Amino acid sequence: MAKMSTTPSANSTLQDLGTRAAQYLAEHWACPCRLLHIEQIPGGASRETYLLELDKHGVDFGVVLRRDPPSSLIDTERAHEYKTYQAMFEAKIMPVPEPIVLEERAEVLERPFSIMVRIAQGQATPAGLDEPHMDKYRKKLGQQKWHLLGQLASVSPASLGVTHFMPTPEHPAAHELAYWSNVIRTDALHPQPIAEAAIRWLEKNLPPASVHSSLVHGDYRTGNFLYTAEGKITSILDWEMAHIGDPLEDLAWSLDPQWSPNLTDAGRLLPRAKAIQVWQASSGLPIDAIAFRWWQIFASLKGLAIWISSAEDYVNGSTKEPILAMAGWPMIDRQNRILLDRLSPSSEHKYAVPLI
Amino acid sequence: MIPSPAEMLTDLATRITSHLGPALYSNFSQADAGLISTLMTVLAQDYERAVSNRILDIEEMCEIFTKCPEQAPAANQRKAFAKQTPKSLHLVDVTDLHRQGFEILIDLHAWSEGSPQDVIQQSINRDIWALLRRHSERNKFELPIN
Repeated sequence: MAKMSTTPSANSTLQDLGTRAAQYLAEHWACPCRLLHIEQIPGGASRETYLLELDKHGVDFGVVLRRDPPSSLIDTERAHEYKTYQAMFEAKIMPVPEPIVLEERAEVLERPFSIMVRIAQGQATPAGLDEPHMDKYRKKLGQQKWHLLGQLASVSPASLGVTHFMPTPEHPAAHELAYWSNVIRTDALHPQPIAEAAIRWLEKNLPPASVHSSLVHGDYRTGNFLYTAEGKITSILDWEMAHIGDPLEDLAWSLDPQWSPNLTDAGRLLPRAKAIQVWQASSGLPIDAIAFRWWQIFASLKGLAIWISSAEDYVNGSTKEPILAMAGWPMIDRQNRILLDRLSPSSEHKYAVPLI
Repeated sequence: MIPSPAEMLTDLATRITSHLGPALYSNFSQADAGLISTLMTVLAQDYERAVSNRILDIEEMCEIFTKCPEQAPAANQRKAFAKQTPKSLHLVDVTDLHRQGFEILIDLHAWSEGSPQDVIQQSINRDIWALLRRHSERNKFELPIN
């Protein structure tokens, strides 16, 4: 079957965007730079993401352009994300793409953007992990995923150089709960009895202020790292929700049932208990069982808040991106059932295993 | 008249996945087509049941509201709600009444958590959780991830 092209105007707009980005980089690098190819990557919910192949002074060079969308799943600061990438690239704790430039003026490409070096190897698709050829690599990837997260947890935010642009909350759990509860109450298009029950539970069971602070990625899950067909993680992506907080937040988020089609394997990779074991060995940190239980319930509430916010964005925002509707409809449905399983006194645990 | 709009939507979603999606040039457009097809499947599933599901929720809320003791919160609103019917069976009107019910339910749920020793409060609490369970099960979408 012949391939249907996108419309001529869409193609020319895409080409025009790439050409202007290449011209911008030519000025930035002070060397000739020409666009060879551009394509948009699906799934960029928080930023429009494009892959560009460039001829940089006679050498093929791949970059990733991240441009602010008219509307986004998560309201985040682009400068915050860019500075986090810079800090993480310099720290070399985990692989991240090298940031090239942040442009906050809108007039260059209609909206602010950042550009990073493209990681040549790897894909992010969660479903790709279920392919038969990945059977022998899932465990290896899981080991890397939670080992890297443990390493991040073990390093102080000050040594990463993020404290000059990120606040350090006195009580991370209270801070995060206040923020995400407000998102739900501000953005919900219909009353949310399950979310409200979760908020009450979290308020009543708030753990003491965290003993250990770390840089929290904020969205550390399968789908936000690149992996190769040989089972290697080549890059950790999507740092827009990074903040200083309790490292248990990332661990709990990474284990949320939302990221696992089956009940046993966290993020399609490792049994939950094994993932926790790897994280503990890597971080060297103890896990307070009561606090960890709190962070797991919180993770499910935060997920729900993001989906509720995206539904609001779809209905009232300026864009009608299908991914916002997807997040705001089937994802709310699933996350509600996960929270119900976690909080209901007579839970059947059909969608979430009992908390560890 | 289309005899079964839900079936029609499902057929169209399948058509997008099997014919249009593979023929699109870019990965981005193919992914977009996939998302649109999934959303049409979701629409198809909700089309038939949306009014019925909300009415069931409303009826079950009425049962709980009338069972509550006088001292439970929002006594007047509970009584008024139990007497109401939607202005019409259009989804917008049924959803509006459902919204009113859920707002009362949230206050009642919070109240029911107040005294673990109070038998009536505990009974209402169990009823509300059971209602939420049935509510979420009947609104569940049949998708690969769910």
